[in-house]
Amino acid sequence: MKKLLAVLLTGCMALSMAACGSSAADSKAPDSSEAPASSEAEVSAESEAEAEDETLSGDISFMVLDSFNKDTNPLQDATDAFMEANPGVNVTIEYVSANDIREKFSTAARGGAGPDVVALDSAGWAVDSAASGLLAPLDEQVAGIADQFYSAPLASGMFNGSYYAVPWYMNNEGMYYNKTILDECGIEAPPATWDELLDACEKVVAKGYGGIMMPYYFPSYYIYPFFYQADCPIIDTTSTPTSALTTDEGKEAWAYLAKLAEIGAYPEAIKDASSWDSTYAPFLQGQCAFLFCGDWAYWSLMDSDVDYGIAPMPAGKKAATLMGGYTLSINANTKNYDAAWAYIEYLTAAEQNYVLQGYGRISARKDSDTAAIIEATPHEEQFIAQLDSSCARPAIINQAEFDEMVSEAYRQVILGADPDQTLEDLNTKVETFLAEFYG
Amino acid sequence: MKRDKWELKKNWRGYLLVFPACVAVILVSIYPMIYGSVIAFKNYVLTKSFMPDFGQFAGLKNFISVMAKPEFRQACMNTVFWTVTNVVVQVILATLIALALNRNIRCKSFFRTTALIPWAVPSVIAAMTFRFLYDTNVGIVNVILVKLGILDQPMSILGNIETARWAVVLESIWKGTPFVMIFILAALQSVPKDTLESAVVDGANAFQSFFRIVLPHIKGSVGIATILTTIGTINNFNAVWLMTMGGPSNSTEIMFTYAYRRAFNGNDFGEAAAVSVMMFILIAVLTSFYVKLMGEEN
Amino acid sequence: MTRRTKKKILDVVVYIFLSCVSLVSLIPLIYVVLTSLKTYDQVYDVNEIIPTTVTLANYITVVGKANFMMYFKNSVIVAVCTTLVCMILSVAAGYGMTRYRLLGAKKLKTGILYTRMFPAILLALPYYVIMRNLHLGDSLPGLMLIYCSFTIPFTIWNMQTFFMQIPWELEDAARIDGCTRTQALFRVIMPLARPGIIATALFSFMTCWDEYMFANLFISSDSKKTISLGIRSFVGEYSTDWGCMMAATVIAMLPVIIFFLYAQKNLVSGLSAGAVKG
Repeated sequence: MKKLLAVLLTGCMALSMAACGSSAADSKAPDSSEAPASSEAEVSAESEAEAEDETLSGDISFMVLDSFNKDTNPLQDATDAFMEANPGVNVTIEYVSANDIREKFSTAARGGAGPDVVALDSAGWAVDSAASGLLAPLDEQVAGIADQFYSAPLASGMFNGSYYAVPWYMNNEGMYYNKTILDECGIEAPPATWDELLDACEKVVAKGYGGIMMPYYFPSYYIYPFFYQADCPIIDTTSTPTSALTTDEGKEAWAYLAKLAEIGAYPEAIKDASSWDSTYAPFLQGQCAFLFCGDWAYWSLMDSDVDYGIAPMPAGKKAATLMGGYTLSINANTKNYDAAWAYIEYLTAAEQNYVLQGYGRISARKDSDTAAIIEATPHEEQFIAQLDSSCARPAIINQAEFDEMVSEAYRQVILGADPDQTLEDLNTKVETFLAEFYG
Repeated sequence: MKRDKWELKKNWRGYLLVFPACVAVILVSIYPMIYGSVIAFKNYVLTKSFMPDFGQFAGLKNFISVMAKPEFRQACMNTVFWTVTNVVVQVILATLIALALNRNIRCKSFFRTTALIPWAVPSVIAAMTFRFLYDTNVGIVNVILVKLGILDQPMSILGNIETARWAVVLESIWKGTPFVMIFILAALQSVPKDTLESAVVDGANAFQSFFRIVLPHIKGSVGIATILTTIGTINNFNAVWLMTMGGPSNSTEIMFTYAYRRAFNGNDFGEAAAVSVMMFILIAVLTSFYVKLMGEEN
Repeated sequence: MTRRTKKKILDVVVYIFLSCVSLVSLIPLIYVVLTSLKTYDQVYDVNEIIPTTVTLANYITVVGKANFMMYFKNSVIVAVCTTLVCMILSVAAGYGMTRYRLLGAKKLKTGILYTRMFPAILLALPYYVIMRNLHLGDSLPGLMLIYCSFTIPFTIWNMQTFFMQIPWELEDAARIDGCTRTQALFRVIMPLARPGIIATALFSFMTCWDEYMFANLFISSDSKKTISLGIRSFVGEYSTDWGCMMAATVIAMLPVIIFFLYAQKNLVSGLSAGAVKG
């Protein structure tokens, strides 16, 4: 019996040593994502010390959305080509779900590790990450290529006047419409103005169909274009950011949105729309007339029986839509700044546009061949036509928190709250919020 | 004094056995807790990390700013509703089930196993499955309610303020009751049979037997189960977050989900820590209260 | 009414009640299994709530995709190791605290209860720091450490309670019969404590197996994901593969159910030993 005790104790010690052993092995792993935190000063000093014509070497990891992980994988092909051209560099791609990628990256980076290159949503993620000290500044490098990209995505990666992200691909919001339902209600063409949209919804609802499906779990995506169409910037960022919600234009947009809720344009099912696929579902089933979404919905709608079309967002005073997309950034903890930058430069170069085409995404480069995109993926036509009228979200820190405030306010209106009062309350909240960061 | 020293010497083996566990608890549990609690008293908004006052001591600032927010106050009230409803219903239901399972009936094993199943289902899956069951279009709950004529049209159960909190509470009752039930069942089986039998001989009916004889015996277990359920319920993140994320209109937001939101949406770990500290105080107060109550009985 | 009739009526009521309980317990599980047999289109189709056709394609995808079985393996490693470490430490501590008169034992016990109360989220930031300093970020041993932190207090508390219930007299009797303290421990005490140990081990295993929040926060590499992350990974960027997710769930529940069935007998008796005096 004493033996048993001895065995247990040995086992215990062995276990703990194994744990220590494997963690040591982990930190010595070739993948540099376990690098300890190094200050930004050290990183830039290292890169300055390296001679410009020294061959690149090192291991870098790239964290990207898992929707890029298909059987035919143009991203991997391009990465292989990059590694061939730079034999000293080894790139590992890590695929992460869109729901988790922001948290994943910030947790890892905060812990001193994380991927060297990361794809972040242009909806303020790069700004927040930069403000949290997680990203390496890219001023010198980006300054050289800045004019090759559209300005809105470029601006989405700026913090404190420095660049922290390079635009990769962009998308915008369009209006999918059910041709069968519109025909049945006597609507000949998809609505092109606010009045037409309101009218169409009334007719459709009267016939017992659902009107509009939008992502109820973050309606800000749907709301912002209407503000832009009313010529309201939502937050005026020309100088110190101030709320423009209660300007005349803002009130106009809000009143229109409230009207849509009032006439019952949103089907009951929208309250369960807590993800994109539950947002598509009623549209997929042919139960509602309109779906406001980006170019990616096409892939889910592809196999359905619904006879649908894609149209630009209805115009208010002017045509406008919301710009989205992803940018590429470098982790402040990286040990291979040069290799990471070379990889980013490579991926965002004109020659690699075929990668994005392979995933049906529109490059953020000004010189991308839009005609070729339309030919390859015809459904992109309307989205490309909207590129010029695409506006970015307000460029502020903690944009996610701001989005959530606006989203929650509109949800309350849909649930029956008084629109004017809700807008006033929202405005007060936003002003307090802005004062905290910019006051 | 001398006697104490002698006791210490004699019991050195005991200390040795306990020592590793103590060290583990201190390092891995207590140190992080202290560290985390200290953040509640600092400026810790991550997106302000470039500002000079980041990480500086801020006194009670986080506590005050959080308590000024109406969403937080609502989260507190929701937490009370959430906890009381869950604990009361779970304990009563579990006792009933345990009593039923304690009787001499056939297929006892089958009933006991199936009653325990909700406990075996991962909480993430339970939450997502229930969300599906409640779905407006394809959820079985809506289908049944419409077929029975209770509803004219399907309604969004988790999307409407009136129904959301009850729907979420239902899920956590489903998930949590088996755990309480097994505690109480175990206690019931240790009630001395002869006492019960003599009571029956003396003419006591089922109710009287239960309240006068059984209940005093199982009080201890019911007490423990209640404490653990209270702690578990206040700390239950998955059920609320995965079903409604605190919506609609914050009607299901509890303190825990509010803290999470402050940390990961608002990047304010200081406020999140402040809320967590307040949660801890709440739980500690409740627990001491229970412990005292049980201690008095003993 | 005679006592016999009363009893019979009560029995019927009990049967009905228990049947309802079983039904309610099983419905979500049945739904999980049904969904695992559906195709993507059937999932959102109202007419297909009970599927007209079933398919095993989801299971094939889940098992065939090398990744999921890797997540399964990772979860097994983490859960088993954590449980082992916690049980060894807590059995030792439980025995030590009850068999020897230690100063501050009662305070320790209450203190441990308090550590259980801490909202996990508060610990996220300190854990980042600890993980960074120990270079354990994004690693299974790091995750095990975190799991130990909230499992150990629970297991210590449980084991102490169980050991307290075991009468000293038995041990004394064994020692009078000539056993040494250690022999008494393994021959007399352990068998009695076995149900409690198994029950506690089961709780501990289940907690680790089920855990999502910390695994999500601290594991990034695909190769190190645990099963709860794996199941979540079916929630895609724009659409969720419910069929596969449910199939994965069924597979994920298998070890728990097996452990469960094995431990069932011990579960009730294990808890009754400790439950009497609490």
